[in-house]
Amino acid sequence: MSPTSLRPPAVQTLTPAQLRNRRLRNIAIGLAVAFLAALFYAITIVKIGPGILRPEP
Amino acid sequence: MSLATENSALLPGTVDSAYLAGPREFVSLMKPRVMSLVVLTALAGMLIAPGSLNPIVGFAALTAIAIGAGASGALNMWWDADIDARMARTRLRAVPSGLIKPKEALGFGLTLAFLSVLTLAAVTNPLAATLLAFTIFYYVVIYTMWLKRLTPQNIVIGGAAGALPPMVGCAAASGGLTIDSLWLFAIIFMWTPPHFWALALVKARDYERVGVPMMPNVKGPAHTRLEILIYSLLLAPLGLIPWFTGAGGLLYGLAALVLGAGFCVHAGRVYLHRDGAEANKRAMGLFGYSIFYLFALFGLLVVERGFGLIARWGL
Repeated sequence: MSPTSLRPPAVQTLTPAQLRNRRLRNIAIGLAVAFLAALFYAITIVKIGPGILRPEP
Repeated sequence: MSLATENSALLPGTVDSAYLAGPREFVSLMKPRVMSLVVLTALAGMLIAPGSLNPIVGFAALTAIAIGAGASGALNMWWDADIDARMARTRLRAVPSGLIKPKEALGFGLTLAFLSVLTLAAVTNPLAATLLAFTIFYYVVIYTMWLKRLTPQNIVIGGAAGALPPMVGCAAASGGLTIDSLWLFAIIFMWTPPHFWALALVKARDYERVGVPMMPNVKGPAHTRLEILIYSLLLAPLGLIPWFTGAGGLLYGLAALVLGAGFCVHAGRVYLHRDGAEANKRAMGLFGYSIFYLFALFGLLVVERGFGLIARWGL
């Protein structure tokens, strides 16, 4: 193993603008995933039909 | 301070611009105004299709089509970043301004493209998904990568990509294609050349500088004005056809008549005013009117069909 590979990685500093945008991106991705999950859930219910929610007699 | 300014003022040791772009920049990559037109025309295609569609399935299908349009926009901006950077109209876009890396735009566009096609296949049918995939392919590969920098007929042939959404909508709603959806395709196809050439008349220098062979800088402004007039004269009666076939009602028919006449008047003004600031003003007037024309025409179709005015009131 070379000495350079033992060196700890350089610390990268984020500016306040970068931190804000990273947070906003994370929120946006989270919302998009939640929206898609809800949409696919609704589609599944529509395709299968409401009967799936009724308990067996 | 704008993000672009902050980007250029990064300190040594800070991470690169990959972390700079926020959701707003990624949304701009999807060309939201074009997306809104795609959603409207696809919805019109859905509503003129035979049979009925569950509203939730319809909403999911429209979402997929909108995301597909966004994917096309992102991939277009990825490929065209080099010329966008040198054109006044586009140099502040997210990729040329350095807010989003080209690789990020490519990844974003491809992800959206696959997501939209697979979603449409899952919620509707293979025909609609195939048509959406073809639309994205046609816009990105046939138009953006091939025709745009090759021929002055670029937006005539490439216009088919923008005209396909009503057919995708029709296929999503009914599992097949109808003659009426073909007429909607034809309207948008015929609308595209006068719409873009009006803008190209004003931005001819920009296009010439970056080597994009738009009609005004290849065949000249006079020839372009003639072609704009011819296409407009063909478009106006074409807009009436959905009324004759019954896809649109009386409201649509009357609006198509008036709006089509207005289109021809604007095109006539562009043809007659050829010099100076007045010429540019007339060209931008037609460009703005053409957007209003398409929104109004398809909006009325959606309102009539969506609210059942034709069946309910015999309109």
